[in-house]
Amino acid sequence: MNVTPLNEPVDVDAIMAAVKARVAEKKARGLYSVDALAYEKLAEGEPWDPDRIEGMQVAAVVRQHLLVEPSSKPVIGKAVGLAKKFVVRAGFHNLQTITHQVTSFNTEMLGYATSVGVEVASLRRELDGLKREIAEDRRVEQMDTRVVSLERVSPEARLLRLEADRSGMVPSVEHHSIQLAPGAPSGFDQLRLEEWFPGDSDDALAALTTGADRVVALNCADGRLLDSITAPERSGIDERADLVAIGANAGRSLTHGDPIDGLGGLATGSVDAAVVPSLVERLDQDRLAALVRGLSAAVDRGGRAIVTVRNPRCQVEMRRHFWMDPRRLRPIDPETIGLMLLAAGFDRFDLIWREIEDVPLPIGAEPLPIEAVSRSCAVVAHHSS
Amino acid sequence: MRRSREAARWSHTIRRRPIAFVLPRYGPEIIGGAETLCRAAAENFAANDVPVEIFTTCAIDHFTWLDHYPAATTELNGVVVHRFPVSPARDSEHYYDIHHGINRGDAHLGYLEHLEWMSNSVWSDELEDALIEETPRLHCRVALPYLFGTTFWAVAENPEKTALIPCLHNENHAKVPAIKAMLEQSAGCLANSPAEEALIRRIAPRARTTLGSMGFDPPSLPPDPAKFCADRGISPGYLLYAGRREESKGVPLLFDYYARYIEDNPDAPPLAMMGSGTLPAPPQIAKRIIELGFVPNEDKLAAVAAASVFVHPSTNESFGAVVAEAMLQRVPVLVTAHSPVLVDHCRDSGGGLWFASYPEFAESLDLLLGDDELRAKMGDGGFRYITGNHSWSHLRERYLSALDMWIP
Repeated sequence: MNVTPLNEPVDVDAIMAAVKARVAEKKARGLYSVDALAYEKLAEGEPWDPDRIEGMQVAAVVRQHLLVEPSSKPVIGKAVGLAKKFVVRAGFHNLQTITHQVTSFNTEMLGYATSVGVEVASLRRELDGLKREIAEDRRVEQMDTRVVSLERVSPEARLLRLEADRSGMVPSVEHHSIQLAPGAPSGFDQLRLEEWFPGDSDDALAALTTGADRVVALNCADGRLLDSITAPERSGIDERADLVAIGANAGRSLTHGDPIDGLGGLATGSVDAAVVPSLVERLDQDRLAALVRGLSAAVDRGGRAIVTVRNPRCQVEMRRHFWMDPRRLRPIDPETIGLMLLAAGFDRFDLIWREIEDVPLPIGAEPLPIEAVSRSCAVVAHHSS
Repeated sequence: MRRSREAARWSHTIRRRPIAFVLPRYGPEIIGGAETLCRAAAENFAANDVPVEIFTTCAIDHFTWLDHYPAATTELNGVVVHRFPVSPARDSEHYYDIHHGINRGDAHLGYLEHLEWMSNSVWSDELEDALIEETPRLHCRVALPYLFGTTFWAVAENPEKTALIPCLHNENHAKVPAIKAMLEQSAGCLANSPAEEALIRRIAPRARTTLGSMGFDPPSLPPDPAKFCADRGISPGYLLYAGRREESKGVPLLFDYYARYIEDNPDAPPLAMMGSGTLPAPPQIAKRIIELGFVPNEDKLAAVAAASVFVHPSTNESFGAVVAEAMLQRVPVLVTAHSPVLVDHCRDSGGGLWFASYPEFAESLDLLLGDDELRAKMGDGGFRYITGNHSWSHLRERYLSALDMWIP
């Protein structure tokens, strides 16, 4: 085709080169979320190390690729294949999300999604078997090797964390003043936080300690959480000396130090409730195991441990915040934490889904379960009396 | 002058006998790209003394293929339209089984299954009979688009007399041997763009092919974007998507990217959605969407002219008519990098940018929205490109010379 020459046309190739340079610069500065870049990596054919792929990242890639090029089976197959490896490792939930995305966003791929669904069913059976084994043989080490693979930390995330520490970007705990809605049921067992506490508030966490006389909060920053807790004896431990000093000046009972070491220093059965907000994602495998052991030892019979977890099953959470948050190194499925607490000696655990988000769905799609629309989860593990 | 030169050139053949356009559905309510191309070309040819007739089915819904119009011969905007009932023997479930199998690349599907696939695609026995009966009266047939029984069996019945406007997409369906054979056995293929022409050559190396393109002329009366916006109580300067509101057009991706964009840029202009379809906007951006819906032709150009940037995320485009219409209104475009056709338009015109990822989408949009002069220059580039290469007179020249050469 002979295209008519233009008078002084805009050099769009030069503009696109500038756009790409700007993107590269921002990328180098870590200003894009991982899922924003994941599709690009796959599209460029970059070989992926399955050990570095996280489930929701893959889900985002699959979804994006389906939207961009619905007929590209090889790429989708590759992504789902890698997702399966991740899912086997991490707790079997993310593949379900992927399947949901596949079926929801592209009916053309329905048949393919069905075959993935068969895999999910098979993996779920395998998970049930694992759970039975864990229930019978409460060895944390077994949990570490068979269900949780925490050593696989994303190098990019580690760099982000280091940069954040250097620049002092680590944000302090945010506080909200959400009041209990009128008519809310009282008492811990009846309380469903997702109905009464729409935000990630200290009040919501504090409510979970209702009835406890002795409460310790690990990783509690300046300890404002303690102000919302009604227990007569309440104290906190945090590794940030500056924040601890602020809290101490406000009259709170705080100790500066490593939270897990501090937990280990508590006498057996010395607390009725232990609250651990926003910590588990930052721990390596050994320290996570030490945390759950320490919680089991420190919490008295009839008491409980309350561990908050960002929810990797929630795509909104994954996409909007999790990967950009320099404090957190990896997603951990709430159920994994619950199972670890069981393995450490607790008798049962509840998952209390929090921070419910509206997740957009295409027409005709089934509503997502609460596990997929909650941005965080409180894992509450109980010691029998 | 141009018309008299054209008349002299084609009078000995095409001017005496009609060209029959064969397609699965036809009518003003149909928005598909191939159908729009066919109707615009047929009406333009008829208005320029090139006799054309339409051979189509009674259906308008491309999912159900239920007969909608009566089986009859009518005239629409100067064009004779023959409608025939859809063959009742087709098994749509079986069709979709094979269709999805091909999409997945199922290895067990062979040539016979491909024929079964086309046998159960939309087709009409009576249309085929009419084509056979009318062969002596017609100069040739031009069938479109490639993925339908009406096209496939028209070529199979009389390949020497049937040219194609395949509107080929780079997808698995285009690569099966039966489709390759159809492309190669037809009298020739009129590609909508250089990128589509290259795709045809790659898939069917023995096919005769040339560039047909699409036709666009500036309207005789310039559109009035200010009135369009005032009538609807909206402000000009919005981002605009125009086309079918479907997943296959990349609309969910656009929603996704726009949601991220306004999260980072709360003052970004709203996104106007023009065209049919029911895909809802996600709740978090719903308030930022201007729902124009189906806009009649007389207002469509005004709606486009009122946009600051025209965004087109669709990958499967054989030409991208809506992009050309935006360029004709001097609106810069932002298109997916995964459509070689659209990227070619941007490169050849200097009238648009393209994105392969959200970061590129955001950076390009920042650039376009932040620089009025750049938008104006790119708009001018797009306008000159369309009027200089894709006017109706260019299109008639290409179509008629190709058909004259392939089917004397």
